[in-house]
Amino acid sequence: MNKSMKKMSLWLTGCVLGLLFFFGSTQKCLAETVYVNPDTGYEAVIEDGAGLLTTEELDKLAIEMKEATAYGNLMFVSIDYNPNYGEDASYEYAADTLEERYGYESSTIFLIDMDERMIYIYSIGANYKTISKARANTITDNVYRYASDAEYYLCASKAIEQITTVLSGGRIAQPMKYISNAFLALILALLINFIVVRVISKAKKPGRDELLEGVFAKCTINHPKATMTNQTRVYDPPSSSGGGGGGGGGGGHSGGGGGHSF
Amino acid sequence: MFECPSCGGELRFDIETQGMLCPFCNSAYDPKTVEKGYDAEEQEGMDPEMMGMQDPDTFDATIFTCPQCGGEILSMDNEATSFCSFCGASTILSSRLSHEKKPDYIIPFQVTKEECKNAYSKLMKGAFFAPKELREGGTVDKFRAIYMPYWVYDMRQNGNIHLQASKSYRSGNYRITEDYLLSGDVDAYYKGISFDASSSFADNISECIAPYDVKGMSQFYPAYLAGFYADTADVEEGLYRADAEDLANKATIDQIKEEPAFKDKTLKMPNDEMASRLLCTSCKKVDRAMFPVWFLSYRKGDRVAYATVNGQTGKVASDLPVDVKKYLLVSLALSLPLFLLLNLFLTITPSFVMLITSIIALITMFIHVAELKEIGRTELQLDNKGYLAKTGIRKDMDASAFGKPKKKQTAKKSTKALGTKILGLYVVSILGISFLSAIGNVMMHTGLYMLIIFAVSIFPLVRGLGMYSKLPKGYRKPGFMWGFVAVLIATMVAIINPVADWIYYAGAVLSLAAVLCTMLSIITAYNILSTRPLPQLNKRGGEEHE
Repeated sequence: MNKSMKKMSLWLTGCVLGLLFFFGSTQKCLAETVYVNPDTGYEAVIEDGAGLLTTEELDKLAIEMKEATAYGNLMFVSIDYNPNYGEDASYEYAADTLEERYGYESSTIFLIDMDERMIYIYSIGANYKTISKARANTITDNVYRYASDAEYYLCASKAIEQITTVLSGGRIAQPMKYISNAFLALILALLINFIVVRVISKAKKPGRDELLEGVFAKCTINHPKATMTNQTRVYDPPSSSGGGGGGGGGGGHSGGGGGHSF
Repeated sequence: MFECPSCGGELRFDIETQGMLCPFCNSAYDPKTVEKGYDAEEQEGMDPEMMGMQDPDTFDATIFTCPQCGGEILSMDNEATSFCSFCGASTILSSRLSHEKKPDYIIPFQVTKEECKNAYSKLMKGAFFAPKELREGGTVDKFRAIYMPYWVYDMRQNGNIHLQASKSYRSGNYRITEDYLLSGDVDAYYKGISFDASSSFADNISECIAPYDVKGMSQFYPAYLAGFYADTADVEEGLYRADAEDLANKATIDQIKEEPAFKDKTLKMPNDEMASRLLCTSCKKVDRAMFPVWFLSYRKGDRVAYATVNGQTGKVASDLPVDVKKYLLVSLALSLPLFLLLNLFLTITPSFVMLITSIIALITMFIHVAELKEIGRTELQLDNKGYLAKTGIRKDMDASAFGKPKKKQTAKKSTKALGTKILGLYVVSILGISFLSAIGNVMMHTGLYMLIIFAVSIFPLVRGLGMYSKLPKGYRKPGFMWGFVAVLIATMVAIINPVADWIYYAGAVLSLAAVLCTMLSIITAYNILSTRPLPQLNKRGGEEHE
């Protein structure tokens, strides 16, 4: 091996190591554990892959995320590329990210998906019992306007605040729920009331038995006889595939969430 | 008039004692023995040679004719009457003397006016949505006691019957089907199957106050009519013969199915024509009869609603229009508990609200189109066999869009038909939901659902437009079009798929307004259906019975 070849291989090795160091350090920088709750062991993680927040905003958000770790892990993630496709892309990314990191431990993720223009909250474990799909929809509906206005810190901050409020048993504003239910109640009332009107206004016609009660009637069948005229036999063995025994129910893991486009 | 042999006063049939009673001297007589006398006024209009030479098959009566609707009503005396029971007009009815054919039988009134009023009031207590005028106590005093003409059929079945049946069962690895010929000697009679014989007494009213117990029939004597009105038969007795046969056949088939020798076999049901032949059904006799009805008419504009009470059993049937204001107020009141209930378990997104609004809009479109069809059928009297037989189908309306005149059906059959419809709807719904769910797993987008709803809404739109132009002008309510507008708005919003919630809410408000318009059209159509057009008759006919 001549000198130039040695130089070349050293240079390439250096480049590879440099790249590895660069990406390694970047990855570390993107998924940063910003707080570990000493009592519960749950952590707060920020992964601003889309670079939406300034360092100052990230620091403020890290402080705001602490309280929620009393109930489970909490992640804030932003991405500008989502490898999934379709309507469920944000949901799949949020679910995969959270489950990869924490399995089925009590956890919640707040995702800002710049690729799909979607914000999404997904929870698993004990957190999902509190932050259900309906609650996740409510929170994202309450904060999506900030994301629309490119106020990403405010959006994340308000979402984290409402997640924490819900986890600690507090109440949050649910305008979407009330407005939607008011519409639904009105329209259902109109329809149900019409059905009631039809039912209570409908005159009942007598049945055949009732009609015959009022007439002189007699019916006798003398010498009844049933004569078989034909018989067909079709080979039709009973199905051999027996039904399997019911399996024992295992402890299920549940997770889910809701989101809103922006 | 029927004179009291003791004091010369006017005798009347007394419902409580079921005898002739003189209101002046309280003398009581048997209706079968009282003879009609003629006052001076009646004698003036009669041929002296004819007096005392009465045909035993006829009786003399005064016919009152309404100058507005042509309805005729019969009475045993000639006191002027001041309103018409058929069109509700307050007017003096013109009168003339007539020889009327005697019915064979009569079921005398057994329900008094007081009992009739109580039965009606009880019904009205439950009819919360009925207009104030119908619920007010004053209306009930207008109940008029009228004997309605009926044809009473005596059906017989005598002979050897042969019916096909089958039985299926499994034996080892084989499925065995056996065909059978069921035979026997049938000996059956159904005496007293009755159908109203007046073209102006709507079939759907007479069906609702049925049945009458013909075991309570007496031989007809004109004295039974004293103090009452009566209608005369103007429908041929053959009109309902097939219906009477049908009822007798079905009753016998029910009996055959219960026969122990046949019970484990499934009968192959013959069609109506075949059934009469196979069961050796024949009509032995058709009698004329008069059955008691308490009759009330309530007129509003060019529509009239009837309330009737069976004068023998007290069964009530009434047209019950809906007060739109009450409907809206109750709907609003109902929405409050519904809202609270929904808040307990439901959090839905604005796009989902629009989706539900569209589904309901679609349902209302179907309801409204079905009502338009019913209005067409009612206006054309397609379900009133007696009226159609007398007057024929109206020439000023195109009947093609509203189906064919329907064969009379018993409630059991109607219930079965309704059951089949509900089952069909259920199956379609399940298939639809399964289909949507399957697609939904691949592509969960409200826009897709909305496009499917939009595509389905084309059907009621086209069907509605087809009937709309064929209805009389006053009945053209564009409710189904509003429903379509609601679906259209929701579809457009769903396809645009805006980010902002307010656009969905605005879409939902517009859709809701459109659905409200459809619902109001549905209620208006329902009110048209629960009342009747003013009758245009060419016949009809006592005196107020208090």
